[in-house]
Amino acid sequence: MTWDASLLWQFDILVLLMMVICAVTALALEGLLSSAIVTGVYSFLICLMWTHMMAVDVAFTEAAVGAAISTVIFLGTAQYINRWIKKDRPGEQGIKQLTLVTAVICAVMMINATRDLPNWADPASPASTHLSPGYIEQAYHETATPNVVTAVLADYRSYDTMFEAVVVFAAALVVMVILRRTSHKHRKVLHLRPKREGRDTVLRGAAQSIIPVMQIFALYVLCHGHYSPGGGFQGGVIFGASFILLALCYNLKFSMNRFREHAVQWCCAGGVLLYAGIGAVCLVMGWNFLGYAALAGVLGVSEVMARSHGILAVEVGVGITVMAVMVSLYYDLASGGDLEDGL
Amino acid sequence: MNLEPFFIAMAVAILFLMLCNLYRVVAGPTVIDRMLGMNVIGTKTTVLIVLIGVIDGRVDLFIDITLAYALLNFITTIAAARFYQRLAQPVPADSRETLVAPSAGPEVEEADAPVTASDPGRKEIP
Repeated sequence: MTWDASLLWQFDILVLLMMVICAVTALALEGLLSSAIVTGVYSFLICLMWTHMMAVDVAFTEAAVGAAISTVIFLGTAQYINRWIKKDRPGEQGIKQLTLVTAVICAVMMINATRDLPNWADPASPASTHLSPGYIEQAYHETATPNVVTAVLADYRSYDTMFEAVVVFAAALVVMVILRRTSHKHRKVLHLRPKREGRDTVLRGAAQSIIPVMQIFALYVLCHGHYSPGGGFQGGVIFGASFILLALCYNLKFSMNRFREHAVQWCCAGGVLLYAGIGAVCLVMGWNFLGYAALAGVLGVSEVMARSHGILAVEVGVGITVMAVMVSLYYDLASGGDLEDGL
Repeated sequence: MNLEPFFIAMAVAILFLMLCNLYRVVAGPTVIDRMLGMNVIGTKTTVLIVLIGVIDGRVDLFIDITLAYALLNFITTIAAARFYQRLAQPVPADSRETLVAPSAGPEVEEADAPVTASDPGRKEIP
């Protein structure tokens, strides 16, 4: 069936309208909890938009990150910053108006610039005339990977993906350096941290039945990235989310007994190391860095299959890093760095 | 029989229902209303993604995304509820929490200073 872009224009207009409403509301609301919830709704809507544009891998990433991780991290952070927004002090009104004027000017410039962009799904646009046809025609024969996005991401553009993994790793590192185990004197602590009451029977039962399914699904997404949307990043996020769910339904200590601080740190670094290590092996075998065809001799398969296996191996590396980084970010941000009690 | 118009009508109808929920999220007088609205919008997103898949004839691509949503939508709601639980609990009488946060401005630093100076080695925050 061919895709007709004009088929569902009502759909686009409604979703875009709702996104604008969400964006304005998130800014206008006073409480941080409410704002975080509205940004959660925004992420649902933008995922819908991407699905509709057939950007399935992007939509999957947004589904995994937007539905689970980002709002939880917002909320974990919001515990420690002011929940009572102060009324304007005398000098601030002018600065706010200046910000508004700057934002409006930038918006006008951007809207002006969109007229130069090619139409959506335009076959004559530069993006679909230069590189894409080559990838689409050759990717399957060269890498034995039906999902072109995965082939481009982890093979043709694997430098970019490696440094994306490094950026994710650096994010966890920075949060760790800033927050973890700093002395109380220098930390902005939540003075009030009442103990949770109640037994949470329903939540714990639900967690017990959902978490195994979630972890198996995460492994499926990781391994099935060759054939369907998904891959290391999405699988890692879902796997990390299962530990966050454990920490939310029980408590942070319970989750940390199952995935200890040191194990998290080893996984953070180990995934990136696995990725770079595979590149180094290729280099040793006399090929380019991350030229997976070099693995053919080591694995005893053809060069095409070696590229396919190489993609899987680096996806596993990305998955391990992302999983550990998500858990590490939650441990640090939700507990304010002392790893005692989370959200 | 061509069912495509039916599915498109369903998708638009569900979108209108989402708009109703969005009203509750935007206007909702309490945070609980917003949480519920978000959860329902998440559920409707799941259904809509499957519907888009059916309309495109590529359900196999979209089913993984909906599964991920169905599994993960739960987490945000629980996190918001936990946050609310903390927020709603009564403040203990000996709490040092002030109505402005440490990041709010200089006057707060003054309020905090005696505490840290008089008790530098404290282990537990009450």
